[in-house]
Amino acid sequence: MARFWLNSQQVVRFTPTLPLSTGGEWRKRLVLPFLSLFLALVFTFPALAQAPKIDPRTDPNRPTDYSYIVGRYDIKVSAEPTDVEVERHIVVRVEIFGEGPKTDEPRGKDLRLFPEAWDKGESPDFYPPVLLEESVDRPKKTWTFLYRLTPKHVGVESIHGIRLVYYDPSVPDDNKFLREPVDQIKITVKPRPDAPPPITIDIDAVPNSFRSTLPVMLTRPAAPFELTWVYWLIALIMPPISCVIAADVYCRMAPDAMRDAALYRMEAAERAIAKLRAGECVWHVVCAYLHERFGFSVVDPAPSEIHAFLKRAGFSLEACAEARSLFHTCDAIRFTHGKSPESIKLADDAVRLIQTLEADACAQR
Amino acid sequence: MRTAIAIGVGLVLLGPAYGQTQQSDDDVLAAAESAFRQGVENKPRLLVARKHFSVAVDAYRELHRRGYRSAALYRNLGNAGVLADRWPEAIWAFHVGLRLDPNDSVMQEHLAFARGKVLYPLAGQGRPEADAWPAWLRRPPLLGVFCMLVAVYVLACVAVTASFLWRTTALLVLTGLTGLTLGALSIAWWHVSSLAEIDRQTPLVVLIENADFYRGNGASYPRHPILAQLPRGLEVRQLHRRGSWLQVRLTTGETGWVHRDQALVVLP
Repeated sequence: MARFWLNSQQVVRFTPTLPLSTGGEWRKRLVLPFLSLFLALVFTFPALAQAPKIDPRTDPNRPTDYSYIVGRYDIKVSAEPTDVEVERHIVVRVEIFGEGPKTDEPRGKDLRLFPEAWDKGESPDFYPPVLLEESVDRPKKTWTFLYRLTPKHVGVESIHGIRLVYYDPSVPDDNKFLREPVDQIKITVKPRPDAPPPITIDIDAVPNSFRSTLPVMLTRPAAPFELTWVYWLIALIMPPISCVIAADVYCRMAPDAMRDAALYRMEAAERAIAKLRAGECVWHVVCAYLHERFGFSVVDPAPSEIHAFLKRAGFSLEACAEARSLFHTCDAIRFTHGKSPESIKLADDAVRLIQTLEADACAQR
Repeated sequence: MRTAIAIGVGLVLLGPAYGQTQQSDDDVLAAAESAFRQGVENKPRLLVARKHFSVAVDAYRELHRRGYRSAALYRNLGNAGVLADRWPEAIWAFHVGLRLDPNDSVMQEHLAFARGKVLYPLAGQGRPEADAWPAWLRRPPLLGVFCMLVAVYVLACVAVTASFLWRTTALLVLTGLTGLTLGALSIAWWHVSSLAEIDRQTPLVVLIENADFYRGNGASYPRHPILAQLPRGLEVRQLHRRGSWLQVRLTTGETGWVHRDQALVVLP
């Protein structure tokens, strides 16, 4: 244990430093707090007087074994018989005396007399108790409940754990939920006698359908069918793959208009190169290619227009420059009536341009 | 000379036994059917009739032992078992028969009749569980459900592909319907396969006589504190097998051991 030692110099002395000089200041300083306290009491008193009444049925602090009874009650329990065989029934008679508001009188469905484990069937000693009968004698202010209790084994020696938990609003204590325990009841559980003699069937009572036989085919069972993972894999994978292949084949065999147009666009390069190789006019062929492949729709375009179009479409600057150069050359040939010395290698340049444009990532989109 | 005598004596001694084992399967079946017929004919003579029915039960069980399996065989065996007052064997036979033909309504009724003879404990331990399968709905075999599942799956794939290609309302409806059918069949498959798995892991056992219910695999163990003896005809599940003892569990959860000779296992 740690000890702290203080010498006299370390002791802090508390000295009141209230201004005691003048009595008038004292009064002024005390009036305000007392006045505030007085007003607070005046205003909160009605609220305290009308404090919300606690409903024991919904009170979050109510015990789990609360039997939903309000008032002053007492309980008396007896059992008959107390000498039974295993799994034979004992009738437990519960009498509750007392009085309280009529709305919160004892009711069989609300009572929580037995331990929770018994009601849930989790008791090792007893099967869940069953309410057989309930009655009330109002002049005597007595409620009677009969329960059937069944011991599970010969080791059960008593009925214990029964209690009545009720709510008494007249109790001055904060906790108004009162617990009324019940003394244990001694019982004796004996083993059951031997099983009765075996039951025999009266042949006359057997339906006639038992007296007929079916023709029996002497067949030995085939090897049982084992559903291995291979079957599952085949069954899961084959149908979608087959459908995808069939859909692809169908689309190839019977293409629709959109696919036709796409194919036509895709084949524009091949057609253009074939025409160039055949010696057709380079300018016309390349213009037609740009129109079919990329939708270039300017009639009689200038090289700068082609350059701008390709640049806008996202082609590389080299490709754009190559196209402008080609069309410059084409214009030169067109306007000099084909006598330009560059006309010889123009078709090759056009083929190279088309291949460049096709290879560009922009054309792949 | 001595060798020849020994062979001769051996033949004389073994001959009848050899002849007995040579009784053909057809002969056994004929004997069973004949005994059953005689039992029916001797209806007014109770003990004689029971004796004939009992012979029929033995003959049908011999066919079972020889490896023959058919729903008709077990139905006949069960019928003969009830009439011979060997109804626990009848319960077992009807169970095996219903494994082979789950939709045999007559066999289901006969099983219920035989079950009615079981003296269950007063607190109701070991009572058979209620069947969750609707009575009006046919019970498809496991392979049948698998084939149907595959067929509907193929149809669903085709419907999805066709909907993708043509996008018509009818095809979309067909896709939805096949999807729903596929879902229903998947649930049926799950149910049937889980039942088969339960049967495989914990086979059904029928007690053919009142059996002492021990806490361990031997008569030296104490008996179960609640159920010292299990009634004949009770249906339980086998958890383990150790030597001549079966560890079984009742439908209400009680677990213990019974002797193997007092039980018949419904093998899947």
